[in-house]
Amino acid sequence: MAEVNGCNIPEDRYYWPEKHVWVSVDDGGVATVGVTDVAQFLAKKIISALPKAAGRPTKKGRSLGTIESGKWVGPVTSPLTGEITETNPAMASDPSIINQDPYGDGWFVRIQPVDWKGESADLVTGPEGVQAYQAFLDEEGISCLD
Amino acid sequence: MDSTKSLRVIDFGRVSGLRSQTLWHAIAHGVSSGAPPTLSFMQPDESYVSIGYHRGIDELNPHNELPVYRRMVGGGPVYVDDGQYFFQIVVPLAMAPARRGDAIRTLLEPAVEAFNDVGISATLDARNEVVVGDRKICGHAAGQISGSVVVVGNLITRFDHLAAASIVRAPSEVAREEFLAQMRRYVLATPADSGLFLEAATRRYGERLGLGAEPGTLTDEERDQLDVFDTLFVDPEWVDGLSTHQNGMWRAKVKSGVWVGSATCDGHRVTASFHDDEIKEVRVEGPDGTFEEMDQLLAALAANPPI
Repeated sequence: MAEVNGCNIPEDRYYWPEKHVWVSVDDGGVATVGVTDVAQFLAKKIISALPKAAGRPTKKGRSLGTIESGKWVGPVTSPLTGEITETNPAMASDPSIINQDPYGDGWFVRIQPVDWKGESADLVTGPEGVQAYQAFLDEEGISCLD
Repeated sequence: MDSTKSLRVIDFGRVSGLRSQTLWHAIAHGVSSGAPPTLSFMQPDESYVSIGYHRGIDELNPHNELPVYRRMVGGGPVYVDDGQYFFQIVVPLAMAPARRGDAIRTLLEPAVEAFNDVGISATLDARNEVVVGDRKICGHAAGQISGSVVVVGNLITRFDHLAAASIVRAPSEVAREEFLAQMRRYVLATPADSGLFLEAATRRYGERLGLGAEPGTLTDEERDQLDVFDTLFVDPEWVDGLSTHQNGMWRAKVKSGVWVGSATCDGHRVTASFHDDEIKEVRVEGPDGTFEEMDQLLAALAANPPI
């Protein structure tokens, strides 16, 4: 687990830093998507999470659903094109699970991507990915320590 | 109009209840597509209920006969009528602080200054509630719509507490009475001239954003988007939205930190009003005699404030 400006950014995930979303892919090619520690920090206590339904198609850059914190509703941006195959049932009863464990139990949706190889090339991962995320956070003046 | 240096100001005047919601949603899409940051104003000419994007229609009084419109920003169900004069500030995502709470605060502060300019001694409290003393004077909600940030709020020139308390589903008349009592205590109308408020808010938002205010109108794209929202917002599927998860408890928020909760156990209903973490009032309905579970029920209510 790498720590960047006080935010946890694990090296084994793929990131879209500007959208604060992460992806991991299992052996079967299914992608799990969630919001990063940075996103949950910026949002503060998440009181509601509403993913789009399983079976719905999604496009890279479109909304996968929304989260609400303190009268604020904002989208979770899809990093991939494909079909939503599963949503996290735990979020319905306890959306704050996203705050508590954004990279684990707080995952948002699972997607069957149509072009993982192509679209993952636009994401960042590994030590270089963490560096790229840090560069974005520095540019935006974002720190999870404040 | 230079979209990088101008604050577009649109005074829509009196509009239908539907348009008082759909107009600024259309603007949010326009600003996302390159229209200038925009400050808009409007007054609904009819009463209706506005419900937050994530909230369940089952939170509303089943006897409610007012139109219901589901907005794409947060917060709970609220009663709206022509005693409320609305403003909306819409800016590109990049112009708002990344932290959600900071974004709301930054985009509410000019409104608070405008309230003061028209003689209302408003402040923004630590919970981002616009207050006079400890009484809420402005309902607000916020969110990211497409690539823009929207904060909406209102100048409440007249407030119908009874109507506002009537739109929510309440588990008993005692619970509704308590909610109404807390609303009367903590929600305050601040009569002021809406035209003067418009002028003051225009000046204050222009100063804060470093933009020159210029009167404007909707773009063609926004007019097209308005048609889309006019249709969507009356679609029963959109209005119905989700069902909520109440965990057997009823909660109704009066303002940030002040709420009324109610739950039942063993044939008794306990209704309590909370101010921050303190219990201010407890009312028990049910058979006479000892009710040993009341402490547990109050503790459970206190641990589950409304969202």
